[in-house]
Amino acid sequence: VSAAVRRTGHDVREQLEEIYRRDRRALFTLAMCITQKRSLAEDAVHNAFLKLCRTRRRPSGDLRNYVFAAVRHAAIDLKKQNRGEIATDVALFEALPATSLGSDSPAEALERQERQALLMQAIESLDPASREAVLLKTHAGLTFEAIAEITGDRQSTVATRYRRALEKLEYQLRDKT
Amino acid sequence: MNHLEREIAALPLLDASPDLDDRISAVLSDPVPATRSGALRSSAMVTIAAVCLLAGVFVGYAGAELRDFEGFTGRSQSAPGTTTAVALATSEQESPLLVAHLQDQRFDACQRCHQSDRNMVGQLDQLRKSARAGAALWERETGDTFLVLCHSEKYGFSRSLEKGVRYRKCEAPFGPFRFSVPDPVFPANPKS
Repeated sequence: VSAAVRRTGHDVREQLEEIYRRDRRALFTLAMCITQKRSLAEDAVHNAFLKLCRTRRRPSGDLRNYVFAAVRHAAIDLKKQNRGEIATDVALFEALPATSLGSDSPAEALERQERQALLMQAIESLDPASREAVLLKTHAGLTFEAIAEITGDRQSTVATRYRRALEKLEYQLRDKT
Repeated sequence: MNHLEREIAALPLLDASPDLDDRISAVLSDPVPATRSGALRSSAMVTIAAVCLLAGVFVGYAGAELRDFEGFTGRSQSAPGTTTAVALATSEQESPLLVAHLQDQRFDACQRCHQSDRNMVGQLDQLRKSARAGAALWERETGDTFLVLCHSEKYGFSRSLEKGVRYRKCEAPFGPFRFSVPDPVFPANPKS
């Protein structure tokens, strides 16, 4: 029995490795959404994996959702523990690379980049829960059901939050362009 | 997915530092913790509960002092072909508590508790170069060799921690690392 369980432990680790490799940016960004501090976000991801590796029971349900939920909880815990610290890293995106023309004219390329910058800014200015929903849906490709499982909200709440966030982003982009 | 969603998905998310990859890799490559069958686990839990209860009765008056004791074992290793060494402090279940890079800027300062230990002072000076804040010194329960543990919230460095030896904390400042370490009931301090 012990060998079988140990084998299961190895299987889980292989899956965890795969999830980390595939979702590392999304996991890190999720933690960043909550902690708004790079070092804390990295610690949150680390803590979550540490906990997942230490547990002797295989998590029930979808392991990927479970990992996202674990990172989220770890980030919330760290945020609470470091309540006094001022959020210093609010950016969730990399700086945009220099404008590449591709098939666009220079004016079109510049306009595209400006729109991307505005979109980044608009996402970063969303409230944390909406930001979380948008990033989990678009970047991690999670379903509303999965996001609801991760955040502990109702599926309909997540869907409404996401839809409203998109409306807000569209409005802001229209307003500024 | 509509146009806006596609635009959002195309935005480049912030990336974590390569250090996180090292940390996760260390966590994932650590041995899988030993497992027990259900019946055995139940019986072990009952035994542990009984022992804890008895120990609590016998050493209750010394509770405050015993809280200064925390047990763990450790090992360190150097990454081959690099100048970066990695120290892993592990619990008695061999699960990793700390992963640290010697050249990491996030090391805490080390305090010089026992200056008579020249060898250690040298090590401390070396570590202090990349220091930030806070430290803890540990001494061996039975001997006069003092061991140092520099730590931050999640990064740490342990010097020559030996497996199977219990260490006693001898310097107070201790941060969130405390939460990572089990606080078992140990025999009373042989020095006191």
